[in-house]
Amino acid sequence: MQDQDRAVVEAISRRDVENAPLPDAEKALLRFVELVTRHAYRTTAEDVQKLRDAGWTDPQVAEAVYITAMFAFFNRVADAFGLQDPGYFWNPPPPPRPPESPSA
Amino acid sequence: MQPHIRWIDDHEATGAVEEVYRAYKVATGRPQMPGILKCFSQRPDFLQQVMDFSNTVHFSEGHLTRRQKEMIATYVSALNQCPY
Repeated sequence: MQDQDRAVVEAISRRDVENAPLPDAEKALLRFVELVTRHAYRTTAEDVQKLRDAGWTDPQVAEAVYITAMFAFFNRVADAFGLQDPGYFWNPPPPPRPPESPSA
Repeated sequence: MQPHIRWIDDHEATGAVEEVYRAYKVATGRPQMPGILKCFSQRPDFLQQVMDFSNTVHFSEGHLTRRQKEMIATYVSALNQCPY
């Protein structure tokens, strides 16, 4: 992980998106992620339009929602079982099938 | 570490749980199951589906890059840790 990535991870882990060394578009996406995480019922079409204006496509926004909700799922389960270590999510598990095309 | 809810640990896994654990360790080269996955050991059929859908959407390229998805995952987990 290069230094810049480490700076990003540290800022994000401190929930400090504004000062993370990230392009504005990614900061906008993370603000939306926070909205979905904290009060998804408040999200509006305008929130999504802001992301389009920042250059994101609807498939990308949809996928961001899937990941956001998926990690809420993992967080709830981990908390309920009492897992303390925030690094509790694992290294990537294996692809179920051997990857068809060799990844770059 | 003792979880609040009983789970099946690596050394006590048998049957379907043992199979899922072994396949995971062979594929990843990890000697121990990560805690988050052991949380699902009371339903090994569900554990397999959890790993599958994680692979499908998170641990693979998609519309977002892996880096962007990891960033989202890290941020969500940080947000969920602080009582709101």
